[in-house]
Amino acid sequence: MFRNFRLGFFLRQAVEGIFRNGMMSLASVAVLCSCLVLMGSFSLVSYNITYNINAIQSVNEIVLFLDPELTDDDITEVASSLRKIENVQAVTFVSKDEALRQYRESLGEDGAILDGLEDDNPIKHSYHITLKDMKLFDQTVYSVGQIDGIVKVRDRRDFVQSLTQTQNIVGLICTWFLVILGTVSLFIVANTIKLTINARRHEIEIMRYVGATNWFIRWPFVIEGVLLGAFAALVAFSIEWYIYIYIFDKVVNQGEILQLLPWDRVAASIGWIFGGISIALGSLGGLISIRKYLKA
Amino acid sequence: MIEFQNVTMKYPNGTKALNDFSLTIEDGEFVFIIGQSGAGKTTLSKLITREEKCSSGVIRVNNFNLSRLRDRDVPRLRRTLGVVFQDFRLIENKTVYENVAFAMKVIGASDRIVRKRVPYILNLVDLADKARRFPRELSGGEQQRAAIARALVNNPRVILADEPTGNVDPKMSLEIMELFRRINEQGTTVIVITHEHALVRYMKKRYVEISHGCVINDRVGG
Repeated sequence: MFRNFRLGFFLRQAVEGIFRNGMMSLASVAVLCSCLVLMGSFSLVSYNITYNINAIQSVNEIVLFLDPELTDDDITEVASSLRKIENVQAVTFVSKDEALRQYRESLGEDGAILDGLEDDNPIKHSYHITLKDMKLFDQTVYSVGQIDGIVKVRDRRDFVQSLTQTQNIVGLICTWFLVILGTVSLFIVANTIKLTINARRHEIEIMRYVGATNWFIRWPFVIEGVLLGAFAALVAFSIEWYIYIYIFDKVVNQGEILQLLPWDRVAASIGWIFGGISIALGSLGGLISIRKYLKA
Repeated sequence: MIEFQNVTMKYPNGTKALNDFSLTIEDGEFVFIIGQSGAGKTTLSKLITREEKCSSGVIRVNNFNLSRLRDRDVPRLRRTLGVVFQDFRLIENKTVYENVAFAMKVIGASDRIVRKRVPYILNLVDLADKARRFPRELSGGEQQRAAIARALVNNPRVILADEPTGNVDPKMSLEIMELFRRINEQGTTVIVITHEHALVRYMKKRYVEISHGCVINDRVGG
């Protein structure tokens, strides 16, 4: 009897509260919604960068060109030295003939300009190695450079570095948006609910006099916050969807270098994040606003 | 039963509202608390409802020891009390029926019980025909009867009325006293805080006179 949760009663109270202060409710949904969309967009950028870093397979591949003077035995020797380096995952030999053939293929119809090079192939034999851990990139490149017979090392380090840097910056901005906009949203939601509380202060007083429990008094306001949050999440999700499909897609596909994750792959995470953050902020707003009315 | 044993109440600003105050009210009694304004009447009421905590002494209300009562158990104490105010404190945008029903719903009564109990109580205070009216459409006396209905609806052991006739004309005041008498006759303890001696003389019940935070008179009659 003492612990009562009357959902119907609470919901009615909460919905009444939202409509009683229609404009403020709208304002808090709008702010919460902008917060979510900004945050969501930055997370999606960051998410896609990670995806692209992993997608560009050649990124963790290093090409080592060999001294043309090496004998076949020397070349095998280099391979076993490479395999001894801990961070090396796979070692593939690409002969100069094979390299020329691949190059010709990549040129397509223009491949004919390479005709006649078969006998005087300027390309060197090479080893393509892939790494286990990208974080040890620099160390591994150094170790590889120490092996005799390797004349040139080619890697995509700069590209990876710039992507990683962008990702770090985006992550930082994302965190700050979360903190600042989250605080602002919380403040506005709490103030909106305070208006409802103010309109209801006589009811709250009566509730306390007849012996309603503090949680019974709190629930309608917490639920009001949750409803505001849920509505904001829903709107923000739709906006984010539009932004992703129309704007992200346009920007990314202009360059043709990067790939965009399909919306289906990110929709669920965005939904959970939006729902979680806004409902947490909403209910917290409700709790904060009612706090001072519940002293004994 | 309500029991004050050597209770002293000192507000943070230094005002001493009650001074070594002792008083016992048995179950089923009808008691007036009278005194000038500032005598400590309202403090007494706030101590009974545990809006305030006393500085020293022991207060027992309906088997609750208020100095040991935890905050989260205060609602349990208040469910044994029905409080009536001078300014009625009805919710303006609810009808008489809804005001009374509200008091039941917020302590978790089911709709079925509310539908049964509210008309019975409105009938008791003679407001059955005004159930669908809003407070502003009622006279002061009727509003106070609605407030008494709200205080009664959860079947409290004690009705505590702080200046219940302060905003009601004299003829209506006597009607409200008669209503309290009927409630009391059904076994509910009634405590009326007032400064109107006329009511005390009319009712011929026990009265406790307070001055400067002490009992100066405790007798029956008028």
